[in-house]
Amino acid sequence: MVELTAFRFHPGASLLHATDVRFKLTFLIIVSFSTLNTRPLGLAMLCAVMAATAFWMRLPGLTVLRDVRFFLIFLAAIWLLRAFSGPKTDPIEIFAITLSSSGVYEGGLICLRLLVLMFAGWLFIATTATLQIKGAIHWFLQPLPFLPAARIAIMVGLMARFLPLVFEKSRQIKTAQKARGIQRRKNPFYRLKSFTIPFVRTIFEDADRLALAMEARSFGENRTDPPLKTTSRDWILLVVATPFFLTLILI
Amino acid sequence: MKPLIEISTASHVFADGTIGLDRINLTIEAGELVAIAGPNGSGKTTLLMHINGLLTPDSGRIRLNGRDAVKSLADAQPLAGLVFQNADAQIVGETVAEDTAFGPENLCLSRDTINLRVKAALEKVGLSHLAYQRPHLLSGGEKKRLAIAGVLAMQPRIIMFDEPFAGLDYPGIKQVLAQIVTLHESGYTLIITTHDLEKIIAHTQRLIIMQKGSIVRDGAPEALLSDLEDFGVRKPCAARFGREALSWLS
Repeated sequence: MVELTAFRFHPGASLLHATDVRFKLTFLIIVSFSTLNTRPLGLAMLCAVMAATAFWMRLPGLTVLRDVRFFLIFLAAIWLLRAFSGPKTDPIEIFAITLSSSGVYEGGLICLRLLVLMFAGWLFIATTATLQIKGAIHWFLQPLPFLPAARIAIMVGLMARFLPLVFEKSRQIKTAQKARGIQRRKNPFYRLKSFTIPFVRTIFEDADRLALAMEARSFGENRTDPPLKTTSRDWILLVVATPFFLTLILI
Repeated sequence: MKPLIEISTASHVFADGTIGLDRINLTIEAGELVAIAGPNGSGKTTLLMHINGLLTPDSGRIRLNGRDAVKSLADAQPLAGLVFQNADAQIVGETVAEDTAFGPENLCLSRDTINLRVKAALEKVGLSHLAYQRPHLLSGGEKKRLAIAGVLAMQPRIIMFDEPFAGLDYPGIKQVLAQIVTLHESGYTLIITTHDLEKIIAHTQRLIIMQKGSIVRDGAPEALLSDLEDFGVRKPCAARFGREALSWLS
């Protein structure tokens, strides 16, 4: 079988892999909130730290860029929209095209924030097994009353586990349709219909098969969760990382 | 001694009116290796799903080791493991070890017991060296062995294989067949459904032929060879030339 998308767990023994999933989830939340207030320098530093982490852990950064190319195009579109539609109080002239300087700045900031969030999410997924994510969600939700913590954790865990397979399925269908000349059809609605029908059908069929296979192995809500272990290293990481994120917000 | 599997007049009709099982009577003793043959839609997989407890009969009774498989499903289900035709569809773990642990985790065993069972199951199928490999990167034969390990970790007495050789290349078929033979020699009761008897005929002592949800023949393989093609099952090559069936492992 071909290598799946880079948005999946990459087994390893790095510091991030060994960090308790509850701490990683906390870091993810802190990063998400800090990006809301961080200025360009802080965001650039965050990007640099995360890129260095990915490089150090030998994670496939280039594959990720390929996988998120449509997201990058989407970000570029947002940036252009802001650059053209922003207030023209301090305009920038490039080859007779007038751009808004505040639009360029604001658009760039939004795109950088979204990019940091996406990258942080990827680092989390790449270094955390789905079962661990499920265990952590269960742990966080358990004290909350009236919430079916086990069921929510199972649903989130399964979604994180099988999302890459859904991408792979979509890739297979696209390739099969290309082999039969779908690219010659210019009507986007026809192409969308031709893709959606087999895609949805196969996804449901696969989900059905998977549900049966899980049931055959006595699957239920009450099961042995993966062990969640906190070590002194996790606390040290928290103590070091929290001031770092706070500094990023301030600079 | 009571038979390990005891099915009496079990019937199942699907929602669209298709007959899945039609008054099936069947007993299987511990340690048997039974091949169930029949064309597509003959009810082979439906029968396995009833034994595993995934489907329940509309009428009739299924007993595993003397216990009613419907009434005490939680006890009966781990007794009979099912290896599905499409190994990819049953992989839930992100590593080989994690996938093998899925069944024991569902049985709410302690982490130490789970680890011991996973280690033993992977050793049995020869995948210990791939314990931290991603399952989707395994070969077809290895994926099938992983599916077997997932079932073995639940410590069943019966292992059922639904079309175990489908979609495998020659080395893959040999790997899975060798695994089946080893499991049988270890004392497991094995049930194998197939529409292609060629690969398993030399190793089975009992052959059941199904058609339209019914058992139409049940006996020693050599006694049923001449009837196979009447029921849409291809006669093994050796039998066509009047020779004794040869193992794919020899």
